[in-house]
Amino acid sequence: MNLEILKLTNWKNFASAQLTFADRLVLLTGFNGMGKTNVLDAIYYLCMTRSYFGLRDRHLVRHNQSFFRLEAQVKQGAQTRQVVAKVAPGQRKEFELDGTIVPKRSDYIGTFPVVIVAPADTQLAYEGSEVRRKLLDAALAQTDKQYLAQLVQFARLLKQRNSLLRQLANHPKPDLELLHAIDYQLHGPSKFIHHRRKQYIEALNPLLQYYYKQVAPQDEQVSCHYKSQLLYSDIETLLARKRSQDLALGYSTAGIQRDDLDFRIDGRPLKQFASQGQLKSFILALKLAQYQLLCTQRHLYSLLLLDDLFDKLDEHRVTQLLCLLLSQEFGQVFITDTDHTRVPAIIRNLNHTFVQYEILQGTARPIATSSAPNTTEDE
Amino acid sequence: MSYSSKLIEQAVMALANLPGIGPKTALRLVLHLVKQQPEQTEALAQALLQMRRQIRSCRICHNISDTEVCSICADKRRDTSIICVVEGIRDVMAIEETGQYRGLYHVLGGLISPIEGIGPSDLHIDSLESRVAQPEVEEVLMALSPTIEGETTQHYLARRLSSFSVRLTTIARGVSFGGELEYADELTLGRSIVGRLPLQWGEGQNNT
Ligand SMILES: [Zn+2]
Repeated sequence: MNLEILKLTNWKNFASAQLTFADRLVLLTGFNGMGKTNVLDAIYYLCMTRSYFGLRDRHLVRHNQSFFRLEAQVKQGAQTRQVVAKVAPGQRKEFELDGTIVPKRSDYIGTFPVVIVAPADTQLAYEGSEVRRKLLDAALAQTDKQYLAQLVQFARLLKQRNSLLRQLANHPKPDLELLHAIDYQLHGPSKFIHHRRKQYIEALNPLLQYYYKQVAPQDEQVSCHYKSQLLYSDIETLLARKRSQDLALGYSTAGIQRDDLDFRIDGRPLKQFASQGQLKSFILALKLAQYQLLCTQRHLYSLLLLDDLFDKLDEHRVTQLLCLLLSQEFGQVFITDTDHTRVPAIIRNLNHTFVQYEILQGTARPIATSSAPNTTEDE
Repeated sequence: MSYSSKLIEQAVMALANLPGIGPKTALRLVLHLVKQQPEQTEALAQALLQMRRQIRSCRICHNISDTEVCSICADKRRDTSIICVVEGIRDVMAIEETGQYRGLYHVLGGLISPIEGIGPSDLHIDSLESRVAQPEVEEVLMALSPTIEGETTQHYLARRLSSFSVRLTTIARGVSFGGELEYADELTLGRSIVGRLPLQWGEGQNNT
């Protein structure tokens, strides 16, 4: 899968820009704050229908404008596909795939599979469990339509249950029949989501270890464990056992909304025992493992977006990583970097072609990348 | 818009309050009335007023009715052994339209949704229970929308009615049945009423 053309209109600090990516390696260079990351986020938005950085639509619109529009041409096998996102905050956001409006965004997500790696991802090790569940959900939603549907259903039911628990908490003689009815509905989605998450983490672990070996200078044992109350008892028992506690507290204390991931290095918790370098390698390996799993499950090369990955890495490490990214394991890769010449020089040394854009205050200027010796044409 | 007449403006505003009617349509309707004889507007106003003053809900099934007991409940030819539970009066109309159902109805007046503060006591559930307690009732057919709230309501009713010796059934779903009951086409809805299924419910059963 190759993203060939990307058009941005009123997107963050871009008034209007068109970028052409006629290569599987795309380099976006520019100083911080110029908009490199915004280009990656535009690609992410087109794939996942929202910003990776959790920004609301109204914060994505260029200053003093009322809408933004993103457009992409993507080559998928023999097919050339067009996707357009038209977003005017306050109105329904519209996605158009090959000229037809997408009725449900949940059905669209996964059409163009994507994985992004950003500097702030190291927070995955430190923040609350929600960010790690989101990591799981974003990955599973791209491979399994049913997963997203079940997740939406689960979230709605949980909200209903918590509302009910709050109402019952002040009740001297609560009517538990309704609680039982909602609990019964929760069984199906809970089991489904739990099962898929468990399967996913099992498949992810060998890949995590494999990529950690590739990207980390030292050889440590790394792993990612799925933590869930459902590993120890089934959802029926769990809800029944916690029912009186839930009623006393006025919210749901048990279920897959409490799931978490436990990151380990040499058997010990990552966040306490890893150095900054090890942490960064772990997160990168985790994302590359996710990427690989996504490609395998979807039988196509997903897009890989790497934001500022080479920051503070020496030339040797950058070369190592580029060699990996240019191997057959990866498809089209987008890389941002602050240095205009460092990475291009390394890629040329590796005899590989690439596309480069210089991003400067919301504009994108193509840089002529002199051809590597064994290529035919390059622009 | 400037109307040059306070009277016209008033009438337009009143009509534009109705669902699906914008100021432009409202103005067209008002100007149409102005062109007609005054008697026609009087007849219209009279019909609306009379409808609004005299319409009530059926004492038995809570369907909309001109009389204390609606024409369906009063119809001696209807099958009193089966009660079809629906969310609203438009569902009654949709099912009647299919011509496939000859039993009675029970209009809940909504679906259970704690988020919106709608609990069982806000719906006509107590009266359903007293009806189901009547010996001639053999079957309760749930025809609620296939949404989360529709299903919650269905499971709740199943629990409440489990102590009565009635058969609980639900309309066959999985047919192309896009969303709300009232939008289902006649043929599909008719088929799903004929092909109704025993209701699955309770702890430890598969949620399909
Ligand atoms: Zn009636």
